[in-house]
Amino acid sequence: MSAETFVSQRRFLWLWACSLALLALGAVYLLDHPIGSRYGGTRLGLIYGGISAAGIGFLMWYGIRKRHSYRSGRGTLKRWLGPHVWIGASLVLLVPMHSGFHLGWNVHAAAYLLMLLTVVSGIWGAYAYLRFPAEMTNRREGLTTRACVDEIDSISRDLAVLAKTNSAAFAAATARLEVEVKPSFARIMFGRPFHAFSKQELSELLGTLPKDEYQAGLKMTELASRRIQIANRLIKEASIVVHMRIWLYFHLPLSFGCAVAAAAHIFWVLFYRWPLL
Amino acid sequence: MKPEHHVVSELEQRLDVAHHLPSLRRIWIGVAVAALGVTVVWPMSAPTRRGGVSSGAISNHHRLIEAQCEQCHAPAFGSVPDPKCAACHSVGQHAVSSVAGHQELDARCTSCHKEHHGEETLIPSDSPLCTNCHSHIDRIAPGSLQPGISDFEHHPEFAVLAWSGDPPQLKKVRLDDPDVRDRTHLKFSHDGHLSQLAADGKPVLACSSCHQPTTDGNSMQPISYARQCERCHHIEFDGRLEGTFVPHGDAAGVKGFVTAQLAKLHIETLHDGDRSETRDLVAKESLDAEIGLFTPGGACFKCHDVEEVTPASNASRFKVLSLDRQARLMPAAVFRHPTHRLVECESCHAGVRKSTSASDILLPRIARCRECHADSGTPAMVDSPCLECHRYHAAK
Repeated sequence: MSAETFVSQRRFLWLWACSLALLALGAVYLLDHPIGSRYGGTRLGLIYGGISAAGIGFLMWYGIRKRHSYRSGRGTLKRWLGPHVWIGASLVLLVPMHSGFHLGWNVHAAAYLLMLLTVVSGIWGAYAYLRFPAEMTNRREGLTTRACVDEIDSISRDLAVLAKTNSAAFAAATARLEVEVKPSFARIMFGRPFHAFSKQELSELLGTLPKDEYQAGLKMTELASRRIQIANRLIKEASIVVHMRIWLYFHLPLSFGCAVAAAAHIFWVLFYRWPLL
Repeated sequence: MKPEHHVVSELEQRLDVAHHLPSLRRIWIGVAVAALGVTVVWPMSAPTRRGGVSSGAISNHHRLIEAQCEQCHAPAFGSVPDPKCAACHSVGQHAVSSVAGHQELDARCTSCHKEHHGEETLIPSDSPLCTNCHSHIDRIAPGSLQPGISDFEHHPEFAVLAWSGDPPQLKKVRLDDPDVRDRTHLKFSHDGHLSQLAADGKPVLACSSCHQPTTDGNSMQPISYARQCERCHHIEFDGRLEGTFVPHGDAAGVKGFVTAQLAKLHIETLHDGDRSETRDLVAKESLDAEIGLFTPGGACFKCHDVEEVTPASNASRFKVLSLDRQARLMPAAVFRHPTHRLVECESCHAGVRKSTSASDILLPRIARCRECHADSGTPAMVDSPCLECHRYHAAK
């Protein structure tokens, strides 16, 4: 049996709670027949808008809690992540019920669009958190990043010494196997490995060396291959870490955009609509 | 335990996503500021830039003032107050029974007239316009005689303005009241007319032989003797005067006509006789003719209730009672015959072939309507919101 996650905690308590709440709100929505049509300004529309606004407030509060009071208050952060995920997903349906499923090219729909994008990026993040930590543990092989980086540096130094103490042909062959381990963002993002030389490529390279440097050449190709292997492992691992973090670069700014747009929406509808009922 | 001095190599930095991107804080602050600019500051800067904050399309009626929010909206944090509507619209007696007549409901123009929803809801025509109050009218207006009606499915049986009770009173009566009847001083049998057959065995009359639509097509023209009855029913009074028919009218007119026709008859045959004798003869014969017409077996009595009265000198001894019929049994209802022309008259007015009295009410019951009509959203049925048949109570 797999371990309980923030999504499945307490036997999907929050999924059930949110689904039941949505069903109940949906039933009330269908039973409500206001004059004209269903929209955000009817009595029920305002109530659903209020619930949605409170929901957005709760979701934003999670972010504040995460950064400033990790362990304060009641329960662990993981405990609060369950309702964060499922309440966020519920808003995708609750907000259209608030507006009577009316959408237009305006500030009001923009708030909803930003909310949808925030939720989508959040689902991406939830997926990353559920999938990648296991993969990382499987790949570790007991080596820390620091140790790998140190080993690459040490191999680079050894190769430099070998190139210096042998012939020019040897130095040229060493240069062929040189990789500048400065991975770009794209390389890390998409986990693109450096070119790993095949056995045939390496033996062709060894063929260019003088006979007496063959043994040194063998050592050189072995070291160079090892360096590429370690670098590629680092890139693979970094790409997993990136996957676990990059969604936040969307989720967090989008959530602020959504919160501002939602506040603007509330401001504009109240600006022209007071008293409420 | 943290290392005291940890020099992070360039490779280590490059492996960290944060190294390649601006700081998260800078990004979210940027997005938030941009959102604030687009959604608040830009529309605030000029009224003409407020299209994007409008909650929906303006109806065609108000398109000309669309860019001038304050034409309808009160200053900031103001909805549309009624005086703003009254500036252009005459609202004096509007909605008298729900708004002006019930201050306690605190209803405003915008309670029913919703703008910013395109053409749909400015003049609402769906059932909630009525049922929002009428479904629980007893709570909104205690003492109301109206039944609570939430939709067509729960609509009570049709009510008509007719006679019921003992002694009969003209009042609103439901068609399921066994006592309900119209009251009229006309004698008429639908059955007697429809069952007349011609020599070839075909019926002489159909519904449309007598019932003709009004010019707007919605209801039927009133029946008149001249248009409908005279074709078949001539009022003869004396075998010697073949082809002379009494004009349809009141008893005094009948008496005058009959007397004049008989006088003419006798004057033509009078040569040297005594004029007073002739006068007496005319008087006697006209009285006989009058009695013949207005008593059982007579042409007038055939259709009308007639009362014998003590006449003033020279006046008629009879009085034709006014028909005393309601012009419309359901005066507030809207019914369009033309939209129902594909169904036979008798499929709704079912009792005509059994009806022998003009007091019979031959309107269909609501169950007949429900064979085709149902609440909005019922599959394969005609949508039937309240305003399909009712007029809004103030819009008379």
